[in-house]
Amino acid sequence: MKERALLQRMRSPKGTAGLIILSFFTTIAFAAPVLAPYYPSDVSSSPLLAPDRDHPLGTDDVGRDIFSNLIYGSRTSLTVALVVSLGVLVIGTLAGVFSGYIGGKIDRVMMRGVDIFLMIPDLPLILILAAYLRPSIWNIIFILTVMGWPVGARITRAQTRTLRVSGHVNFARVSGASNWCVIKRHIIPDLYPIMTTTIVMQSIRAILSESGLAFLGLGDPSYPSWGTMIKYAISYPLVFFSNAWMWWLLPAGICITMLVLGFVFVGQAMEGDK
Amino acid sequence: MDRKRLWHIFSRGLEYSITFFLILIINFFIPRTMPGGPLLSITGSQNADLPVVLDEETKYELMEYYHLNDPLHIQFMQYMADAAQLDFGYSITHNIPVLDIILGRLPWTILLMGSALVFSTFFGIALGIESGWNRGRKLDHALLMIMPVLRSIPPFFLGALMIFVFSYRMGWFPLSGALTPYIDYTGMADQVRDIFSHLALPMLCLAAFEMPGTYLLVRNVCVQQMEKPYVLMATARGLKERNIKKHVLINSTVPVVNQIAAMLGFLVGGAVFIETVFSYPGMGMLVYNSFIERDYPVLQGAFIFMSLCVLACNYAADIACSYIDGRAGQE
Repeated sequence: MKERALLQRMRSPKGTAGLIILSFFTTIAFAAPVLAPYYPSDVSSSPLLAPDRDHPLGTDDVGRDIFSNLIYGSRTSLTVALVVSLGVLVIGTLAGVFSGYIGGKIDRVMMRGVDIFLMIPDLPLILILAAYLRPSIWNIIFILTVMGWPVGARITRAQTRTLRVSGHVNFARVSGASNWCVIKRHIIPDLYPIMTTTIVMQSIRAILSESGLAFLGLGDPSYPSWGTMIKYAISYPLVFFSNAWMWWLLPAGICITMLVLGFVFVGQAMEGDK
Repeated sequence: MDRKRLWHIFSRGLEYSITFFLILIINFFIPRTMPGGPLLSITGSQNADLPVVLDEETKYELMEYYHLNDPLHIQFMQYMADAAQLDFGYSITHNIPVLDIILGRLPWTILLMGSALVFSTFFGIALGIESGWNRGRKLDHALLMIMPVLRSIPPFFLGALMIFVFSYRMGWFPLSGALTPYIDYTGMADQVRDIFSHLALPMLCLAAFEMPGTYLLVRNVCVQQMEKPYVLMATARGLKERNIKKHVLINSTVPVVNQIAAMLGFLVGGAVFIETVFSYPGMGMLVYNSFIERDYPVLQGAFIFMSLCVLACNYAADIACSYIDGRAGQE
């Protein structure tokens, strides 16, 4: 019944638009080797070419094909979004359900800890960690997950508290169901809407953070990223004096914006916006 | 009632102090637990093209000089004593106290973030109320389309676009920085104008980054408020639309104070990107530069300072909320 309601909501204009955008980028990510004319790190072409038949979006300052980089960049963004949102979902849900279901002192201590975590400004901390650790995609994923799980835990815990004292859960407990059974049969299924929201919100955060970190030079150099492309584009001194910004800067920025917008639309549609 | 409020303020203060203490601990352990060891910033990475090789004796002397051979708890006591005196050591690249560098940068960030916050809150509330009031009409639909797009644009990309359009093409605003270098001001007015022409673009950019959150919150609260009986009552009494709107406005702005406080840490992140793009000499730019230069003392000092500012603002917002909304903190 709930699944049907969700499907119904996804049929709204915003939901449809969001799903179309997301499936578009997912297709590109999967079909990257077929779609891209070059390998993203291939520097064999001459640098700073204007778009022509061989290079649909020209080449950058070291002779990499921009179009191929753009296509492979979707893989990086989507991978980070997927792994981080799933990581946050699993850790956050486990912590939130545990804390909310047990209640009492443990709950209070855990939630204080989560509150403390939430108040630390994350970007400066991420920069410090990244300055010490090697820039690698797994480090970025790790940091984003560690900084993200308290948000998931907070929402899940609040909902678990409400469910914990609701009629059907009490009835199940009185009837002799074990704690594990109650959580699995009656609490987790009621958390599905919150879980989907968590995935959407964390994906948005992960995509923006990944491209932002890449823009600051913290990205993994071995993975093409839209943020890195923007970084190189605007640090090239002549980008704004020629037409290069049109095919170098703009497409990468539009790709990030569109992908995030896809998630935003899906999130809004799930909350019932038309 | 008043004792309850005092207790609330006190207990929140205690919580924030614990948070800050925890941040200090994190800051203490990061360089000591990371791979490579604490001397990494002097020797450089061993994978670099030209690794600095230190013999054991020099290494020992260096460790001794930085008190790194002491037991951990003595190091920690020393660290806390220094932190209490706001002594964060010396910058590696500039060789001046970290505190001096930070104090030089702080006013610019406060100016940038403060003005962006005022701007985005004002327009966020105004647009949110208009949108909620005219729910389902053209204006509402248009805003509901624009705001998500605004939210989806990464701040550094928006900044780059703004520089391109308004500075390169139109020439309305300067390209970067916070002041025109080597300029002789003819007077106070001249100086103020210079500061504001440099501030305008980064401020708009940061405001655009923050506004969608405020707007959506106010709109949702406003829509909820419109269903309340007091609005119906006011309409039935024949009050002017303007006056009813005023009531809704006041009731819709209370959650905004809380939301702004919660957004501050997030806003600091936005400021790092925007200051980097605009080369605006604030804390964000400082963090970025010291990251590039691997200037660890500055990086860590800035982290502590930014956390302290965010926590202080959060605490202030908490106290403000307990006065605005009598129910806060009385669960």
